[in-house]
Amino acid sequence: MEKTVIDVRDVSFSYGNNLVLDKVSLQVMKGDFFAITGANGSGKSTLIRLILGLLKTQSGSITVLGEAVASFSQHAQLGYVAQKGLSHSFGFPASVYEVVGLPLKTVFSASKRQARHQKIMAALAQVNMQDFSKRMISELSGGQLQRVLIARELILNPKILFLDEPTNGLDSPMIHELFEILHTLNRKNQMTVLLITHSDEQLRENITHTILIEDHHAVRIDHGDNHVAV
Amino acid sequence: MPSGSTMETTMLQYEFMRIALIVGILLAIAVPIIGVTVVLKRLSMIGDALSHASMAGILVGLLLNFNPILGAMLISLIAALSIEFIRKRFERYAELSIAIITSAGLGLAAVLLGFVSNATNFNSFLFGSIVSITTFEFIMVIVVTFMIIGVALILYRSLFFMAFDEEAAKLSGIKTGWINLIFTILTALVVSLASRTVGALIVSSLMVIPVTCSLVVGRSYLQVVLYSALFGVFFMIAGLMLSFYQGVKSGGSIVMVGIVTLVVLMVIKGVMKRIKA
Repeated sequence: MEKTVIDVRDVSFSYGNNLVLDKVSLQVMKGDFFAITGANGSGKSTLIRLILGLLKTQSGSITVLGEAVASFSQHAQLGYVAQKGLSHSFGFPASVYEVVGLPLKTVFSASKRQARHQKIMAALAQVNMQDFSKRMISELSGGQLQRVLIARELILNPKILFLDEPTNGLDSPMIHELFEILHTLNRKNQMTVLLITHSDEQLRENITHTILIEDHHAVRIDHGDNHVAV
Repeated sequence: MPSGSTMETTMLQYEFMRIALIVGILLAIAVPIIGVTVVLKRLSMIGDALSHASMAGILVGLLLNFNPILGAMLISLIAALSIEFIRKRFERYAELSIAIITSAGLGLAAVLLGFVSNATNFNSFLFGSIVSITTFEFIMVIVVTFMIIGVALILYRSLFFMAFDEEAAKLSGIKTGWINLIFTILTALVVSLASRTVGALIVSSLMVIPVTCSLVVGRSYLQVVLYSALFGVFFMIAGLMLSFYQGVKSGGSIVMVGIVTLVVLMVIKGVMKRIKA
């Protein structure tokens, strides 16, 4: 039986008097490759942020991996690459190695440091960036930096990876490469992937389900031709 | 100078210079360490805001007849917490918080200055008086410096992660609220203490220039932190030596050594880039 990893039920949210989401429901199963799409300002990022607990739901409920978001404790199981991550990170004075290792605790013994080193290099290998470990973040292209940010999230082997418009500012070859990496993670690692995109082209990239946010509501589009209002 | 003595030996013969050096070196480590996070979070002018608030605090102390440094620390603390509060409310315009507090500090200082009968004492806080540190101030510098070094070591990863991506840091389980509070308090304390030594008008430079130099040469975040402290110490020692042997103001000397170093580093880096290209 498929396991529900994210369960959003009748969630509504407003910024002041501005209604953004109106009784939105959504169930994501383990191993899904989910896209959330909609016009600019439709509430896509808001929905992701509610699921992650960065915003508090005003009505309805959200559980992630069986836990209510309000008291969520399994932080290591979730990975999140924010939309502003790319622009905010450019020029930061740190090496790729340091940034990818950020989620890992500092260790002092030689054996633990070796294990830490291996985890960092393994995460970089998953995104084909193992040769860039000594480079500075400021020396990377947009696509390379995006992969580094993904590697940082992969280092704790999350069960769910959230990406908010990861292809912004990337050209077609970089987008294709990024999707190849995400599909490999989804198929090989059984990682559930949720990404926000407003590109129709990306929606054809073997995504299992799509949620369209329109007029404050969510319409689920399964891969194929079933349209089910949720 | 007695024959056979070096410039450094002569300077160190005087107890007030030895104390000035110790205090200076400690602050030259503490202030840039704080400065790394401040600069990377794009709050570079916070040193100005807090030092102006410290000036108002000094005047409160002088007027109410208690230790001006305690007044500086108290008002600086209130100012730092206010900056953090306003920054959270107006995330999009975070720099507004600094401008508001700078204005408030200056305004309050200007008003209170009118009630101070002897402004000489206050003037020493504007440009610093590292050679006339009291025992209380000496002890406070030691305590605050070691607190900052301790926090920097214990919270190294958290501060790094928060400077890089505070949201991701929060999602990873880091208690960003508490760490921001601790950092804000330490920033306020060190700025108010450094205002006494290098002067309220110059402490911001001590926070920013060593960090800028380390950004030019550093090849990792760890190097940026270490080099910031090293540059800070170098500027402090060189500036104090210039002040002692050439008779120039210590605060200004420290800053000008920093500026010259920065220019030299940028020129060297530019030349090396052209050679490699």
